Amino acid sequence: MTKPLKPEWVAAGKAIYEMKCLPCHKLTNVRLVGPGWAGVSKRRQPLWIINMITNVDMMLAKDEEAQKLLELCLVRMPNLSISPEDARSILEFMRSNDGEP
Amino acid sequence: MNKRNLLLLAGVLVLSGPAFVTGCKPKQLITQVQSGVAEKVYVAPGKHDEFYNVVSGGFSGGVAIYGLPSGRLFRQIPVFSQNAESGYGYSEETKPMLNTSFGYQVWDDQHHVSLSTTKGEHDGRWIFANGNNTPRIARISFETFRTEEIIEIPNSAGNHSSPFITENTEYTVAGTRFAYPLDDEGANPDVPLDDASFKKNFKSVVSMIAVEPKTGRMSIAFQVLLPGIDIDLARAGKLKSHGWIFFSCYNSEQAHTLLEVNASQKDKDFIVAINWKQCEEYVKAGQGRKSHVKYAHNVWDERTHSATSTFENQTIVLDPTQLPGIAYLMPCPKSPHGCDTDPTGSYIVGSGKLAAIIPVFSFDKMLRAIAAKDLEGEFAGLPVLKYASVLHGEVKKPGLGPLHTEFDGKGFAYTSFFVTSELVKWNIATLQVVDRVPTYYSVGHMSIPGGPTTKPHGKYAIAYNKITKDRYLPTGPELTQSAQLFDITGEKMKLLLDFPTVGEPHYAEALPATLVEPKSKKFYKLEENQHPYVTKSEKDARVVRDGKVVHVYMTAIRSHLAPDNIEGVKVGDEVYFHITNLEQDWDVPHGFAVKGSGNSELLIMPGETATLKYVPSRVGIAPFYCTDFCSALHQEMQGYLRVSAAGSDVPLTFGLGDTAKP
Ligand code: HEC
Ligand SMILES: [Cu+2]
Repeated sequence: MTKPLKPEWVAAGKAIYEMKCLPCHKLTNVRLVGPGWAGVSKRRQPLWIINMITNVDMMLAKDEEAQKLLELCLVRMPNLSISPEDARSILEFMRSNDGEP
Repeated sequence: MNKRNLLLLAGVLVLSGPAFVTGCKPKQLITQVQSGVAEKVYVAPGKHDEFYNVVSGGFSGGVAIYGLPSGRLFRQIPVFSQNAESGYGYSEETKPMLNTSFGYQVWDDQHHVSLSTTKGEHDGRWIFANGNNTPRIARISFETFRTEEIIEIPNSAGNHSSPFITENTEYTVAGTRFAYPLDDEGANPDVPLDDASFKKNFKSVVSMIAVEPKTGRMSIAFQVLLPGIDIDLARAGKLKSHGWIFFSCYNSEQAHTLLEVNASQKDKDFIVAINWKQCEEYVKAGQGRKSHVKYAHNVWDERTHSATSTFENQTIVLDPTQLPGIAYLMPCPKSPHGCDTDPTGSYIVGSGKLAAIIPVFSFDKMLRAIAAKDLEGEFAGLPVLKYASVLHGEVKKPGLGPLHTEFDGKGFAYTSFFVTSELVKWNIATLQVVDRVPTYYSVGHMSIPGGPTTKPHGKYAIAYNKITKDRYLPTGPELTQSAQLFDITGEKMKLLLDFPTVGEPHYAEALPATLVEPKSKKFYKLEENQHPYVTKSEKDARVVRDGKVVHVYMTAIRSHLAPDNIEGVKVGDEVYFHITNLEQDWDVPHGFAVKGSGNSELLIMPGETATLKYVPSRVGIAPFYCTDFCSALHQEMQGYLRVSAAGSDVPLTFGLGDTAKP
């Protein structure tokens, strides 16, 4: 994990968020289609988040936490064909959204 | 497995030999189906077929994709006809695809397909398709199964002998079924319809359309001028005959009325052999005449998800009466239709619709006859080779009304017979008929996977029948068309399956799924979307007014459209909904429709942008929604557009959720 955060990664993550995640996720704790992202990097392990982003179909099939979210939201989070590098940038952006320096 | 033939007797009469059907209802029904057939065509749930079958759609104007051996229909690709299901020809992006020198054409008649080859073998890159009525050739991508390009053919009428290709897809060809006065600018096409005028003014032209090897882009390389005859079908030479192309023609009588009788007078018409390599030399040497014409060239750009239509204004015409060595006529009995070259490129099979034999021409003998000037005479200034000198031999008593021939790569040819309603298998070397099976009813084209290539995949023959009658549950006077699948792995052909087809299938080809399946595109990458009205982020969704024109930059993702509340649009405005599907996963299209739009729906693939034009005609609330069931909350994927009176001062506002009015 980077410490402090890498500003380039945060910026890249924000750009991807705006293109591909914003229709369903707010940056606050308000649920839209999916859960709001406030606090997500604290309540979830980094690997879990990366899996959720890059391999959502596997997560919804196997992971209990992901399945609980589906029961709550009733919409399957789509596979958005995110590369591992892009997923890492998104995680960086989530951490920055949660106030990490 | 049980090797005894079990004839199924339930509800059908069984007799032997072909059924004789002449367009009227057959007197007796025969069906010979053997045991163990079901498992040969059964593709278990979730399993894939072995072959793609690419089937022309006839008067549907498109091309249909089936699986073999199951006969299941997967997709209808719109090509020359509008398709309200996908928005093809209705969306702003696709409208230019149907542009021609006659303006926008909503329909055409799609007869033949040709699958691209390299070294004479299927390579799984493109499907070529002809438009018969307003002469055109289309190219379809095997990655997206979408029409990528359409080129209009000038100096042509009734583009029937098309879009057959040469060995390495150097060219796809076109030819006039109707002799016709040329389109040359300044020429007067307003000519009388009588014998003298026909002989003087009516010409036939075959066109060689070059295909750029990397992109597939088409351009008319040159046209060859022929006397006024009806050119019917074509096949390129291959291997030893590579560099030549053969066209069948009828109406060498040059009749312009009651062709049924008047074009059936002579006992031989012609197969025209064109030496296209020699033509290329003449073109290079500047020997062609420039014909000033206007024709549309429509190209789909996958980066902008949009088509453009431009006009070209010239072709090069070669006149074989002035340029020796490029065109020879081979006499062919009688009113030939099919003109098929075998996998070795040695033989050309003519199929005289009204002949009682099948003539098989030898390419080697043709070259010798040309070298020895072994001529029977001339026709309108073109050399006619001696029939006996170019003939390999005749298949005697094959049946009545031979139409088309395909090959299995094992030395056998299979010919379809319309009048006697059968497929006939014969040996190319010995010209002996070795097997025949009835078809139900009146087969037109037939196809063997890889049949027209240098390397047939064999295994099956498919008959595309012209008459369906009682084969399926009836649906009133208008019936589905019918295809039949035969196993050709053994000595005897065996009927395996009937399957219904759409439009009126003419020619079809089949190729192994392994050549196509791995590269089938799953979705368009948003990052690569260069549509001028793309909305890549929901935060950029907006509505912009420019005078009377309103652009709605809308996004779609499960399960909302953004924006979904719009006010301030007025009666008489021109509203363009530019919808970007933000999904990035396979098989998540969204649709779009708005009440009273007078337009089709849009079906937008993941990562794609498409535009629907809408001119509101009355004051009120116009609901819009996603037409493709995309998620559990699909029914919620909807919105409202407020349409006010033409002069109203309702300001333009829009929003979604928080940004909508409370
Ligand atoms: C179409 C709506 C949609 C889009 C677009 C979307 N998601 Fe989701 N996301 C969901 C839903 C719904 C859930 C809850 C799980 C489920 O129901 O499948 C979720 C859950 C998540 C979670 C777990 C949240 C938590 O609180 O534990 C993460 C992380 C996540 N998404 C990341 C992303 C990223 C990154 C993107 C963009 C690349 C994205 N999502 C795009 C709908 C969406
Ligand atoms: Cu939808």
